[in-house]
Amino acid sequence: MRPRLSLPIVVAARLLLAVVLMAGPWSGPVRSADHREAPLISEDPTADIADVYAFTSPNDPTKAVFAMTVNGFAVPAVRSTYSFGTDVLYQLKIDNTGDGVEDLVIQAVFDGFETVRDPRCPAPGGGQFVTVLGPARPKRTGADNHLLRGKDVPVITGCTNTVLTGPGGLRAFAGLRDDPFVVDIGQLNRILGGTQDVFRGFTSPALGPLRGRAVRADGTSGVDAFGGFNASALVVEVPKALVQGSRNRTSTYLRTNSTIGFWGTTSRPKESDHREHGRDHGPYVQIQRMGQQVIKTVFIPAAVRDFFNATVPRDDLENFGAFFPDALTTTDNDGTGNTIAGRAGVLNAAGVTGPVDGVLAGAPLLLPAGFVNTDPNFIRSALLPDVLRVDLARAAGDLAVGANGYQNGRRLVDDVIDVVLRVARELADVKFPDGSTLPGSGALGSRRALDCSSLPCPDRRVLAVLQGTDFVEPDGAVPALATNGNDRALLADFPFFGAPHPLPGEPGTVGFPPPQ
Amino acid sequence: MSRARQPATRTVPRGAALAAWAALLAALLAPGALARAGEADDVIRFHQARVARDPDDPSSYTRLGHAYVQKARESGDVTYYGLAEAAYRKALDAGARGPAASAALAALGAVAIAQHRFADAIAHAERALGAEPGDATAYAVLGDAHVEIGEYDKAAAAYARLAPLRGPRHPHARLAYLAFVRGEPDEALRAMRGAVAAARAAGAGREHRAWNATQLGALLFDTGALAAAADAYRDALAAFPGYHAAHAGLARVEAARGRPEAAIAGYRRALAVIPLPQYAAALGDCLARLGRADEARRQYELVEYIGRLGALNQVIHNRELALFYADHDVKPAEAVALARKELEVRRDIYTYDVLAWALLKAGRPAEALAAMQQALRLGTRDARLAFHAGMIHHALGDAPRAREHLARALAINPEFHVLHADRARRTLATLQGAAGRRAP
Repeated sequence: MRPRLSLPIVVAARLLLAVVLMAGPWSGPVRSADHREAPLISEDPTADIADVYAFTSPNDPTKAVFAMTVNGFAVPAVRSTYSFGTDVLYQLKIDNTGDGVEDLVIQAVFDGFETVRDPRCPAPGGGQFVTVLGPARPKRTGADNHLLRGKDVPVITGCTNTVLTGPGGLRAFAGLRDDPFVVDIGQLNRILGGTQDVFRGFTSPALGPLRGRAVRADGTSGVDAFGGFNASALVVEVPKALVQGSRNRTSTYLRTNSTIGFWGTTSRPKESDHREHGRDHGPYVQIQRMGQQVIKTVFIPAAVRDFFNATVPRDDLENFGAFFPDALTTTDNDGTGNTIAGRAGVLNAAGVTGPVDGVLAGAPLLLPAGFVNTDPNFIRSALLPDVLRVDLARAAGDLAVGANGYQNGRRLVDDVIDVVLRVARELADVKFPDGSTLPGSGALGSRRALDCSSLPCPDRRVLAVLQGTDFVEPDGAVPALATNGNDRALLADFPFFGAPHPLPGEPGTVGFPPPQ
Repeated sequence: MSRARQPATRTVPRGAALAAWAALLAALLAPGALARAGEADDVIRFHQARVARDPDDPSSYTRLGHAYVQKARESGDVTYYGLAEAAYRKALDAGARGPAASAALAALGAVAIAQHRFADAIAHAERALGAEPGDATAYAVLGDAHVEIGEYDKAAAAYARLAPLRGPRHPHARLAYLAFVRGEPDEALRAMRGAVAAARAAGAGREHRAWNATQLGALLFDTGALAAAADAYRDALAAFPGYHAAHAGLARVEAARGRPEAAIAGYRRALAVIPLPQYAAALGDCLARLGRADEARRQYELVEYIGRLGALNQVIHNRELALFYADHDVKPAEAVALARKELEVRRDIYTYDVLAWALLKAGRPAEALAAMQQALRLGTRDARLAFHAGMIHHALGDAPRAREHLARALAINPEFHVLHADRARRTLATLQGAAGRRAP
């Protein structure tokens, strides 16, 4: 289907209207708006966290890189209109003791805008003056914070769109970049909404025809909803020695002494009046937080999302544990063979672990059928507190999926959506219809399971994860989780994020990459 | 605030339709009208390409709809609202659910408000809240629509749901408007300054910042702070060059400062972007003030032509046209009919004000007083309302109340209108003279 509304038609219509007006009165609509309508207020893009990332530098195993993106869905044509908020405190928070409370923070604040430059930032570079503080121990932890102060706090200053170097091997960058996140949101929403069943349509040997996208001539079927969009990225590179910590944390959710927890937050000054001059030192009140990918979107109901954003990771298990399903184990929990191996059998029988009639119908199993888990709280404890677990002792490219959290840290290229889909379909407990003889069709009892007690599943997330991939990449790349099919090349060195999509008319684009 | 004030002259607009078309055509083809393509059009094209790439993604349609709304806001051309509505409906047809559905539904509500379909707007907002409880935009639309139908308490309740939000989602501008109509101009100014600062701190778009500055300018004008109002309008033009509402606002300040030539130039700039009837009326008044009756008449003809052109314009500009007739002492019965028609969908204080003014001009001052009491029910400190109230009491022979209202109008803003302020002064002088003569 092609769009019916195009701008040239509108302009042509207006010219035609002018001609018609010459012909006589009352022959066409000249319309005009009165102007008291306030702008839509649905969005707060400068404080809305798109994603957070944490990984070992691929070029220097002694450095860790932490990043956060805001201004998601930034349109290249109006590139200069995207700035970081001047009333927002951006924080990268690190827990190196395993209690879900930040021990160290890196903070960033901004002056000026890309459209109205700070006097310290003349053209042609970025127009915002950024101040990066830390890593340092915060005066106050939790959802209310103050700016770091003191002579021991590392400080980096400079302008946006520039790699800034600080003391002790610190580097920082802030500016508009290509958004490296990849997911087929359109199809995901249709599956969740019930108009489609799976990402790629096919006829399952066990389930019959399933509605989904058709395979295109080039062999792909997914659409990257973030393709062509930019986002504002804050990236900081830190010597690991500054964030590693020394406390024993093997008994905590971090599980190893080399693992740290990481999340990003945005905050605004507590007083709602905005200062024209000078900067508030605090307190700043948290607006949003984010750790692992899509936790909020997938697991936290809309009605409690604001509460989630206002709270802190330490309390996550208590506050939000009930929204997460139990994990399957190696022990049958309902008398129908509802085990990890039993689920693997269901997925194989459904045809979603490989090709069906010569066309790939799902990703291969990620966890072997013999994967050992004895803890029904495995998903809960892997995902809560909602922080990225980064094992600083692992190699830069080691995803270690499921070892602790979804994956070890998060690189820009990780196929984090497939990680979620593939882990969930193999481990999330699902209540299948009574009497269907499927593993999981037994009595629900005290199990916390996703609801597929009737077909099609009332909890559409069961279908969303069925194939274990959204098929955005070429089929050959589906099994690998270290590539996500991003539409723009990443940089080999800091700040690693790819250059932003250029303006229309500039070399390299006509406003949008051609349709796949 | 920012209500168009149409001046009074005794010039009767009649005939010469050809001249009106020529003026309209000139306005449409002026450089500002079509050449302000640029960014808004690029954004539209980008989202069109996205929709082409994935015609079934609801969010792509919603973003395309937002791009059309932005274009409508920047150009004043409500044709784009129709395109936006179609895009939002496509998003819903494509199976939007949860936040995606509420975004499209709330945006449909915003479009309905722009098209003066306030009951539809409320229905859309309520559906949006059903799809995603707590949706901020839906509460904003719900509040905005209730303001227009005069249900101010319900509007305040909806806005209260947004009050805990920080940053640009805090309803600064909406609370400012409520405070103004409730007779709290200082609070209104404080809130509107908060809106300007919040939009700036959040790096909001050019038009968004210009809109906020223009609203602040209108509030400052309405409190008689002409110099500060001019500064605010200039800020708006710096943020978004060519912004028609700011050109018109600045022109109103120039007229109030006794610089009709500068005002004329400003209104012409605004009309070159979009021929709004209130701009043409104000331009006509400035021309009339300078004794350029023929030119004034051509603008007045344009007012009526635009206001009656097409079904949608007759809805959107009903009230402006009624006010224009009443201000210029023409078609009194039609003015009353238009105002009554408007009252069917829009029962806010300003529609009651226009009805009262039209009834007075139709020779029905007793009925005018009843309507005026509705217009003043919130205690709004608005010079135009006070002026109308004073003239109604004057017609009814209630000199003390007439004096009180006229004095209040002039105290709020001694130059509240390029023609009416003098009329208020003259009437007040007459009344005071009469009172003085009666005194022993």
